[in-house]
Amino acid sequence: MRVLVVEDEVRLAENLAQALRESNGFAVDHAQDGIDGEQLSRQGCYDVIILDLMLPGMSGLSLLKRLRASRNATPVLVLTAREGPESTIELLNEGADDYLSKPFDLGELIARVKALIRRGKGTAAPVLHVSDIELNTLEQSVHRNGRVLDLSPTEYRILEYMMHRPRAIVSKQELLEHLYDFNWQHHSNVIEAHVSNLRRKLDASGAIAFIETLRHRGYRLSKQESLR
Amino acid sequence: MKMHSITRRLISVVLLLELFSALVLIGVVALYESHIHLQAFDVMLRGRADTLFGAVQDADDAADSVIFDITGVTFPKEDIFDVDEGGYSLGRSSQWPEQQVVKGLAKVKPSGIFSTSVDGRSYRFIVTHGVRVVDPKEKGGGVAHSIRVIYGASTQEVWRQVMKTVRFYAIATVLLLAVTGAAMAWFLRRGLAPLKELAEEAGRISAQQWSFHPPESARQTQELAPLNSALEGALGRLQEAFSRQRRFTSNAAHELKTDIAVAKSSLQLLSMRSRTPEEYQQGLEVCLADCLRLEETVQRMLALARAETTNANSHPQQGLQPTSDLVACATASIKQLAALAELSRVRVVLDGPGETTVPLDANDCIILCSNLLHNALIHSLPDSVVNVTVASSDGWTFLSVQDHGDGITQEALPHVFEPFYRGDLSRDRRSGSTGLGLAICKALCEGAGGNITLTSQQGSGTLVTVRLPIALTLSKSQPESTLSLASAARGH
Repeated sequence: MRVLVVEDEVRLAENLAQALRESNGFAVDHAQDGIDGEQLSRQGCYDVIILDLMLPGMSGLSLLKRLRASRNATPVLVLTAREGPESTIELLNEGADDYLSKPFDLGELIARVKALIRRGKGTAAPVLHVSDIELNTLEQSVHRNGRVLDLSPTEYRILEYMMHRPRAIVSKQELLEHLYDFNWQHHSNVIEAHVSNLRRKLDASGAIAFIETLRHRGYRLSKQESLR
Repeated sequence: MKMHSITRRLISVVLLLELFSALVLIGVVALYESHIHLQAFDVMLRGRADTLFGAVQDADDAADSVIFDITGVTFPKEDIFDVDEGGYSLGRSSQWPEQQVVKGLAKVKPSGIFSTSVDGRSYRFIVTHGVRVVDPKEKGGGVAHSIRVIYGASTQEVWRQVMKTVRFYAIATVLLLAVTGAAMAWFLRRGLAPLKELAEEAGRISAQQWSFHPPESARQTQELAPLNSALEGALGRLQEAFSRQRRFTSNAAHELKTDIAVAKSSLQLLSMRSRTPEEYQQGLEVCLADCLRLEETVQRMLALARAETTNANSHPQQGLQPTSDLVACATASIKQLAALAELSRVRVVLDGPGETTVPLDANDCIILCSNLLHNALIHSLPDSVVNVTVASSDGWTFLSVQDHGDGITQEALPHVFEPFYRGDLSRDRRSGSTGLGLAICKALCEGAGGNITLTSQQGSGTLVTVRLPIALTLSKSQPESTLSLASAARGH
């Protein structure tokens, strides 16, 4: 999952990014002002945006308005240092999905970010089921037929991303965009290698091939009779 | 404390004035009336005296003497008269107060009138002299008899007339006073109604509701115009100050919360999972840096608050103000920031006279200089020069700091002195700016009775000019270290 942090306080943004990377292996990008933040958010490759309100260039609120005006539905978590129900109501009415007031609890922020990602993908429960595969986003563990699969962090992130959209075709580009931030020197064959490893580990514990490859288009979770 | 009423005072003053005028008028009228009546009285006296004189006849006796015969002539019975010739009385009224008349004759006026009291009543007398010539056809022109007539009558009637007039005027005055008092009370109450409405409108003002619109009636009253404009002006200034304060509090809270959020998240990040001793070491250093940053913010806020309080309280006792040498302080701040200047590869050139005393505490003066210099340094382009100039003219000291950086945008210029305003946030954040530096400078300058201005050309640099009054050297405080000018001008 890829998160955009729009926050002018560099130290805070660094801490947020590190916490998100360490806890869930999220890819995190950082924008220091509203204008950069808007440009990045328009790329549409983010699964959640963490937005500070007091920003140079463009305020967080106008960024949010523009984002929603351009029909971008990325979940937005607003960080605010302002108290009071009026500002909260205005924020939520302008399209924010959640808010936290500073100073916040880092654990709570991560939990809210994960909840927003789940909701953004249309799933409410933290445990995902596709066919006989069970993926627990809290423990970051994967079971197939009751057996634990030992996946690397990247393999887990690929599987989690795909299990959030079980019927969709996911291109390599999309996986790259959502799993890596700008700090990563990426090549599409990195994805190929990870997907092939992931498929091997999954297939070893089940009868049916779980991930199918569509030439030039990407990957999809298998649509066989045995799949629910 | 007893309240006094303008209405009551006004009415009393008017009524007193009116009463005074009425009394004067009554006095004048009484004088005039008595004068007129006495004149008529005198004419009457003279007429009666002449009638008496006419009653003096010569008798047909051998001595051709003169006799007085009033048969057929009637006078009021209270009147007193006497006709005599050379001290010999020819005839007089039945009542003749010899003593009083003699006393009165001593103060007789040239017109022959004198007054005296007889039996407790006021009498007015006339003395006329005439000559009765007996046998004028005889040789030698006859015999001339010098006759004196004294006639007096009671003036009681005159005074009764005068009193009647006075009484009329007195009653008229009392009525007039009553009518005036009532009318004034009514008109004043009506006239002061706009004041009451204005007070009601002013009573509606509160911290939440600042708007003040003087009611129509008050706006159309000329006397209330100064009050209206004073109220409006005062409220405007209060509202301005109030909202500035509110903005400051809100900004300060935002700033502090952000700094706390940073420190808190650093600590939570560190405790998120177990780490190696090296990682803990690093994390603790980061947390300490975050705390120092928080401390810096708090200190700057306090500095601003202190500078602004001085601003409000310094003026009454200018003589006690501490002073310092601006050149020495500039030199000290250049020394303080030498490392930053070197890091930014900027040369600082100081140009100033030997000693210039300004009405600022030495520490405040150094804060002023180093804030300005710090701004200039972080906005300078590498390998450029920052010029710090001190000059004096017309009783003022000027400190200017000119940098050759990329300047400030037009949109940012009006806000640079506002607390927490950061023109170029991304860069100012990196340099650890709290956005309070220029606000503190402004408060310090204004507290010392001076001012600060900033001009900037985008692309060519910013010039900050501070104008301070030259202080009398009373209690000069020196900064801890004073460098020689030469070493400061060398640049860093």
